[in-house]
Amino acid sequence: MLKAFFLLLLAVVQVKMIYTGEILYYLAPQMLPFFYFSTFSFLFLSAYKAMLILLQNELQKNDPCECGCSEGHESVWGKPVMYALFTIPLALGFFMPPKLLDSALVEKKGIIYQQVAPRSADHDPDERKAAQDQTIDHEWWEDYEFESSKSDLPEEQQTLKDELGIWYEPDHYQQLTEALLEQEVIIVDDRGFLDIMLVISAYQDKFQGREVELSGFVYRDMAMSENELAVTRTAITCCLADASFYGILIRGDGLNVFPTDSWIKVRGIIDQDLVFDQNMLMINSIETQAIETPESPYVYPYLYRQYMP
Amino acid sequence: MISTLNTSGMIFLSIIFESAPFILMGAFFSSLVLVFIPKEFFSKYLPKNPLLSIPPALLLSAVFPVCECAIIPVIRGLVRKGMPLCAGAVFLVAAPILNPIVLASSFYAFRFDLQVVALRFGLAAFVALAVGLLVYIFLDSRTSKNSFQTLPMSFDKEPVNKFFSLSSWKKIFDHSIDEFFTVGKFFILGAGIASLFQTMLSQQAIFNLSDSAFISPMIMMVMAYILSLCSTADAFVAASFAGTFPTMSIVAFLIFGPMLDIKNTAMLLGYFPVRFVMLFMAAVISVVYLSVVALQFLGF
Repeated sequence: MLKAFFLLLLAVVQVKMIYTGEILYYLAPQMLPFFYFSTFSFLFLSAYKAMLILLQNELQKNDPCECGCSEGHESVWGKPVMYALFTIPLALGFFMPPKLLDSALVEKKGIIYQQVAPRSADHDPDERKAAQDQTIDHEWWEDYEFESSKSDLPEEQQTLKDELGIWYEPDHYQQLTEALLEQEVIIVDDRGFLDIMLVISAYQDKFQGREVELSGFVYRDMAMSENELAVTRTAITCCLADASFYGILIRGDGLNVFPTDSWIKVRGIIDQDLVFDQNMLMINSIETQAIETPESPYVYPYLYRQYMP
Repeated sequence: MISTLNTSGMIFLSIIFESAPFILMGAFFSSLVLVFIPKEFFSKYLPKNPLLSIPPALLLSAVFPVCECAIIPVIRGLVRKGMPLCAGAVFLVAAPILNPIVLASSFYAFRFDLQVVALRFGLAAFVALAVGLLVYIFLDSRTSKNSFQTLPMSFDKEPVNKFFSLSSWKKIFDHSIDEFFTVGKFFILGAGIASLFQTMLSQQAIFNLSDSAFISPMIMMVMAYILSLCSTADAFVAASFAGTFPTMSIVAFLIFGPMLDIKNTAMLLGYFPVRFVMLFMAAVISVVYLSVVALQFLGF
């Protein structure tokens, strides 16, 4: 009886999340099919339980053991504790206002700044290919030699293709770079945020001095001066537990008027600077303005979803 | 403070929403096992010596795409039906890592360093075998064969169920619901603790501790335990550590996390006798740590 009720409540919370769109504050879009599945299951199981209860009232004698599974071995406190525990997520789901992950959490988990890839003077195609295939993550520029992965790559693509049906276009980043360079002002939209930032830091020399426009929330760390801040986005793979934060250093006069955690849109010139011995991508602000929190504040590793089987 | 708790609450709900479908599937599969696998199944088809059940267990765990939340109820169901404990331990260790979905996400996250991917899967298989062996030495070979069949569970006496019978499916749904609530309460507990750690504990400070070859894999294992990530997502988080940590520490993170973390410890404790859980955890921790450190000195 109680179980049917709790299952129904779980279904209602999940339907509420879907209906209001709040679910995107909790899960990455790629997890949504699973979320629909659990919502449907909760509805189905609660209906099933309710049906049993109704049937039982009619033919009580035929059903000696409605369910004896867990009753048998649990202590007197087992059940109340179980329902109390299930009440917590239900109460939070119904009453807790959704909130974006903020600077307080960035401080705990750490921020990943875009770093500029070390470049050789000339760009022979081989090296460029290796570089572009490495534009997947951010902190390994110094640690991994381009040569080492160059030889692995065709084989790896082949494996992915043969065994998992995953195929990625090796020229994707090349195309993205060219498309971006054609724009007068490079607009970093929310959907492509991670990829565009990667391309810009990987081919920083091509983008040097170009005008760019991007948005994010304000993060400041101890080492920053008054006219510096980091425009930050939260990247989610599955759920908030695996959130990581990507930031780009912004410099400009008057940046101190924007409170930490507020959302801003920055237009500025791409540049790089040596910070703590690391070559960091940065933007010299031309114009920075406060904006509303966007509809979809998180960013996702978009290419990954595209290549999932 | 309120704001921090609000963040914890968000992460907590997020973990629950993400895992609920997989827990439901686990509960459903364990009910299928319970109802359709006859009691003599394992004693009939498995080798008499439990040790010989370890290799087939490893092969099977590579085939099934189950994650760490879903596997626990299924394994309990199987052990209850007479599967040797050491084979169960192999499943618990190997299944969350050795599966196609985790392979795909690891490939994607570590395309720049395939060594990590190879080590992740190779070492996971090795750890599974070693843990299975340890569980065999300390438990299977010592305890009487049927001690686990005293794990309480209903539907004890029924004969083999027919697939197309209403009563079988009624049992399956009833049992799935009960299983969901039983696993669910431990899961909620684990997810709650994990989400508090996520927001209260400074990972930055922990990372700054790492310097020596002995300490840094240990730190990554602690991180993996606390963060309680899903095995399909952890590769991306690990990739962001790549600049700061040596390769083998990253591998330690990637193999230890799916095997043990806060949320599945809570579930294990709720599901298996404390003695088994303690032995299992000790075996996993020491095998992972020692093999990682050993490989480090071999020059990986």
